[in-house]
Amino acid sequence: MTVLPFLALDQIAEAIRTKKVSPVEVVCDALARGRRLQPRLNCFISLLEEQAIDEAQRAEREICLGRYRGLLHGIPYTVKDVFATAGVRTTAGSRVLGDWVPQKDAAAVASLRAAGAVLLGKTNTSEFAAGPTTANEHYGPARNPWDVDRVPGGSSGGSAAALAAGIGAFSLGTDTGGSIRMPAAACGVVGLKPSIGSVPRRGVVMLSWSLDTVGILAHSVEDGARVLDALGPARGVETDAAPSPFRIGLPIELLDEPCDPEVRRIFMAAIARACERGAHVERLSVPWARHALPVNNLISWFESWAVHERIFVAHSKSYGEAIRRRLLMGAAVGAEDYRTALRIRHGFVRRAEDLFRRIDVLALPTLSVPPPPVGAEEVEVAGQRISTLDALGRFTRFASFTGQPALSLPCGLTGGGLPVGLQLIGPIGGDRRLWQIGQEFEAAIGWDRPVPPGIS
Amino acid sequence: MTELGSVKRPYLADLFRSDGLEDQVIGNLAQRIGLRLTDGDRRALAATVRRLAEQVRTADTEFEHDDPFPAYLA
Repeated sequence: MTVLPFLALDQIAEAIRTKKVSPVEVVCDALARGRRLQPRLNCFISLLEEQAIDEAQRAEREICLGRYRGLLHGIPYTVKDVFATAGVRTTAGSRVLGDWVPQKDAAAVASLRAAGAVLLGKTNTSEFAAGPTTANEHYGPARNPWDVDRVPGGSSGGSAAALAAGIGAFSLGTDTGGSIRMPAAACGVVGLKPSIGSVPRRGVVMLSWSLDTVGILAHSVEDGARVLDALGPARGVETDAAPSPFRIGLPIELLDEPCDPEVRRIFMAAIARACERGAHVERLSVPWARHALPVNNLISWFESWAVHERIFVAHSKSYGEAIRRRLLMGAAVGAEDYRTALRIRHGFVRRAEDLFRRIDVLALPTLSVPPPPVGAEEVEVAGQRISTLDALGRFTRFASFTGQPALSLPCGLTGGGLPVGLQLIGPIGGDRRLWQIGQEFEAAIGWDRPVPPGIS
Repeated sequence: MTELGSVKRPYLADLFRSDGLEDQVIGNLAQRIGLRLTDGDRRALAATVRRLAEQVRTADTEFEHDDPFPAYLA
C-alpha cells in the first residue's frame, strides 16, 4: 500500500488496525519526508529518527499480538519544542535550555505516548513561544511550505509547516495569543485551541500563566477533535445529530480594522457559503472587542517577565534579541496597569458570555494579511504600514483574552497561492459544539486539502 | 508619596505605578545584565511600553465595569 501522508486520521488508523500497513512503514515514510524537507522548511529542532522507529516497531509488535490501543496507535505526530519529552532535548527554541533533557514527559505527551502515538520530532518555535513568525534566532527561521520565502506563522510555526508538508498526522502546540491559529492559517491546516484549562499544561515551558493553552494542529477539524479527546475530557455536549442551523456573529468594529482586501473577500465568501447551507449571520456591534489586542499583550508581557526574571538576569546573553527586548519591556510594565488589564478581562469575559447568548460562533479572518515575507518587520495592509506582529495577531487575541475555544480552518488561497484562514470562536466550555460547526464550515467551503506546490 | 498624618509613605498604587519610569527600569535592567543598549533603543522600548499602557488605560475608561458596591456608597 502506498502511504499517503495527507489521509484522514481514521483512514490511516484503520489501515494500521487491519494490518494493511504497518506503523513502521507509516513512520519511516514520515521520517523520510522530514529528512528530505527539513533543509527547505527548517521545521524541526530535533528529528528523532531512531526513537521513532523503535516506537513504531513496538506498536507493530503490539498490534500483531492483538493489543491494539485505539485510534492513535502507531500514528506519527510532532510536538512543538516547548513540551517536555522524557530523555529528549527540549529547548523551547532557546539556547538557554539548549541542552535540557527532561526526565518526564509533559502531561499531553504522556497521554499521546499512552495512546501509542509515535513521536517524530520536536518542532521549531519562536524562542520561548513568544512571537508570531517563528523567526528563531538560534535554530534558524522556520519556513512556509506554500512559499519558503514566507513565514509559517508562529509561535507553533514548525508544527504547522511540518503538518502542511505531510510530516506527521497532527502536531501538539500551544496558544497564548494565537500561536496555534496563526500558523495553522498561514500554512493551510486546521488549528484547535480548546477552552483554557481543558488540556493539562504540566510540563510545558510557560510563557504566560493566565493565557497559555495546549491545543492541536491537524489536517481537519475532526482529526484535531479526536486527538484532543485523547488528551482529556472535552468540554461541552456531544451530539450525534448534525448541528442545527447555527448563528454566526460578525463583529463589525473588528472587521473594520485594517485587513488585506483579498483576505477579507475570501473570508466573506466562506461565510456566504455557510449561509447557503442554512447558517444565519448577524452583524454585531462589539466596540470593546478591539481592546483585546493591547490588553492581552500587556498581560502577556508582564507575565512572561515574571516567569523569566530570575533566569533572565543570570543568563541574559543566551537569550535572543527579540525575546530580550520583549522581556525588557515586560519588566517596565507597571503592576497597576496589569491590575487594570485583569479587571478589563473580567468585564470582557462577562460581555462575551452575553454575546454568545445571541450567537453560536463569532467569525473573523484568522490573519489580517497573507503570510508575510521572512524578516519583514512591517507589512502593508489596505494602504497602511503596520507592524507584522499586530497584523498577524489582530484577530486572534479575542479568544486568547477570554479563554474561549477557537479554531482556524483554511478557507481559500490568494491569487498568489497563499492560504487564508477562517477563525471561529465559541463560548467557554462549548468546545464540542464549536468543533461540530467547524466541520460544517469545512463541508461548506470544500477545502480538499491541496498539497503545497513543490511538496510531493 | 502620599501624606498620611505626619508620616509620608508610599501607597501601594504609587509603588506599583511605573509612569515615566519605563526608561529608568529598562536602563537599569540592561545595565544589570550587561546589555549594551543605545539611548535610542532604550527610549524606543520605553515608548512602546508607555503606548501599550496608555491603550490599556483608554480601554479601561471606555469599559463600564460593574460597580462592586451598592449605589448609596458612591
